[in-house]
Amino acid sequence: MVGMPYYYETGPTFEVLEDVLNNGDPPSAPAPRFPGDDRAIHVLNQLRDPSVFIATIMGLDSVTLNAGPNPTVADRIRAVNRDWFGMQEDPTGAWSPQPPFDPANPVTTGRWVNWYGHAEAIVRTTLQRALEVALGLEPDQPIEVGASPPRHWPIAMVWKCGQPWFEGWITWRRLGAHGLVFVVFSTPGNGDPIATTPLAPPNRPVAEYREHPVRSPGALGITCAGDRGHWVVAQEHQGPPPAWVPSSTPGAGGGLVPPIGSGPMLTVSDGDVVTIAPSEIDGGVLAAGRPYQR
Amino acid sequence: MTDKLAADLIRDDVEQSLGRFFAPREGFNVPAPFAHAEPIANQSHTAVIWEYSGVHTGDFHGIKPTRREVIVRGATVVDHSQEPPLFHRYVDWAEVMGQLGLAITGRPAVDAPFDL
Repeated sequence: MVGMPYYYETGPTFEVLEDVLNNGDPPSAPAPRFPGDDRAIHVLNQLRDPSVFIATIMGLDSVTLNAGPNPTVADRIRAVNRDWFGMQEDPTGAWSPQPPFDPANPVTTGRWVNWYGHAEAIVRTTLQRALEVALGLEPDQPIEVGASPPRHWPIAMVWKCGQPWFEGWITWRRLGAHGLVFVVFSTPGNGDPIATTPLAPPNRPVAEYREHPVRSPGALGITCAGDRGHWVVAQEHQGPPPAWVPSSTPGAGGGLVPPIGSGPMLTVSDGDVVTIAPSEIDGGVLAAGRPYQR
Repeated sequence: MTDKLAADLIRDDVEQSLGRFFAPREGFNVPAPFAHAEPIANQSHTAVIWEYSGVHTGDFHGIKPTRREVIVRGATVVDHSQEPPLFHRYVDWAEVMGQLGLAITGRPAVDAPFDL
């Protein structure tokens, strides 16, 4: 879970978490029982146990994440516990919860900008509720490994950043005997830079990146042929307007015209509207997903 | 132009500009550390550090009135070596945004994040 250059992203870690929760592509029909049911039930019961660290059950030990920016399991656990949850690591590597909020010495949770709160509990509860929805269970309804859940819908994960506080959203949709659950973590920003353009630079080796209309020689353009997708539609460039200037007219122009709508906090989008499939490392998804493998 | 006249122009400028968005509560004033001092001035420039206390009652460039009480803090330097005088206004808009309940995204937008 490192910063990516978009506001709305999935990326490798959440792809693996999808696989942990789904164990491949579970059948959406009520029967027959899917082998992945047991893993989903096991994860659900671990989420319901507050003594189990989330970072140990979300697939961070998958070797398919070793090529990313956090190449070891310890790196990935640290990124979640410290940067997302504000937990503290002692010299032995043991983790403790973040300290209570101290008005006399206010600090933010993890790397979230301008926000303090219980991110760990929000993530835990969101994933718990999402699994309950996916399995057709009522909130907190007990279920044991080996039982047959009423259903097993796949879960899709998205991270949306840049709002004042941390939320988890669960949206689901039944389509006949099938269905799909969407989970969106809508979080504060983490200070990482956002690209002012959805276009990847031409010299950046981004394997799955696609764009339409095609700008770069040799680019393939977007396709909806894969099983999964994650596209953004935006203008080519976003940026501030020209800086304000002093004014000779009292009450008009200069710094006393409020900045929203006319000043440095205004964003101006320009250029053509493009459709971009970001590379997975930039928050996109692989057409077949990224598996959880130990 | 006298320093007193320049200071009055600054007061008018602030009240006219901000009064459209923030109905005056205590209105314009020069805050305590500078309240009893003469304007900061030389032969060509006069500077005034000021505050404006009001209630958000007008459409603030798309932000509908919140009825929140705000204090706008700023400083204005008037260049009266020319006619008409030129106003250089420095306002702590970030603080005003916070008072209105606006928040930042926490993600700085840059043109080339991959090069950082």
